[in-house]
Amino acid sequence: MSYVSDIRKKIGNDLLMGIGSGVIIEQDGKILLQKRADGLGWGIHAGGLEPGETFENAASRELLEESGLVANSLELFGNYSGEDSFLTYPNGDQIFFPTIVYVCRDFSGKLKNQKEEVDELRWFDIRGRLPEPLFSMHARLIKDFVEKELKNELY
Amino acid sequence: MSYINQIRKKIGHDLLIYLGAGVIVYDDGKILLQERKDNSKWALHAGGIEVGEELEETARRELFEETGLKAGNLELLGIYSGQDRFITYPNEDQVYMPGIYYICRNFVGDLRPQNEEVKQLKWFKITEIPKNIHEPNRRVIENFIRKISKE
Repeated sequence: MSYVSDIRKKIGNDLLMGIGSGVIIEQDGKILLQKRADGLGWGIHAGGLEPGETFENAASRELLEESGLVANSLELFGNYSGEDSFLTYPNGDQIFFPTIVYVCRDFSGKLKNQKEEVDELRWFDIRGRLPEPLFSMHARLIKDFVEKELKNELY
Repeated sequence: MSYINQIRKKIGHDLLIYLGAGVIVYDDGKILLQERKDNSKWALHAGGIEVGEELEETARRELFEETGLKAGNLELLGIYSGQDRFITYPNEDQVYMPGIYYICRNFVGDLRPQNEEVKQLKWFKITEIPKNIHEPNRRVIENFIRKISKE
């Protein structure tokens, strides 16, 4: 039983705050995105912290669960909060999940999407077009990452 | 009504997870700590994020509410999570509150401790930090002193 499903039994659809932790997977100028099974678009691999869990553990756990990949090292990319951390799911559940984001350029394992949550995993060239729609909670961080990578390539 | 008050009505004292943000105010070899009213420990100025807020805004808001100081530039010290961040408050409410801490080296305003939460505010030399530190802040303050000592 997870923290969120546990507490949902008591609060119904009411607003729930939590803490997200996620990973941007990068390799050879491409990023790995996942098409969410809930129809909310393309995002990174992320999920909520469980009680006592560290940000790094949560990021690695969610990455493995959703994509089959094992993170060998994580570097902190940034923290994302504000208006776009608020979301109403199709089932009416309301959440506000500020999210800590890591970049992982060193990973192992074989891509395998988690059937319940992920329709598809796909690599996207950072110089090309990003898929649409991007998951609203991740759109800003994905764009920030791509912009930063392109800038670094120039110098 | 605040988020916490509202959800507490439904979950009682059960564990709640939320994210906090805090500030280390540093000036001339000293840091500003607050003696908390709830447990009489020395602590950083920090609190929980509100819906829709950016974390840096949370840090600035809490600093101002608790000390009367307005932060200038904030520099990220680090993000903290793990077992030392469980808190049971005197009223038995349980929380797991990972946090983000910023360093503030320039600020304006006069010290004015918040009545409800803060007993007193006091500057401590980083070589003379008190022993009874609020537990979730211990690692943060140690990391800060290590960082500052290298500068």
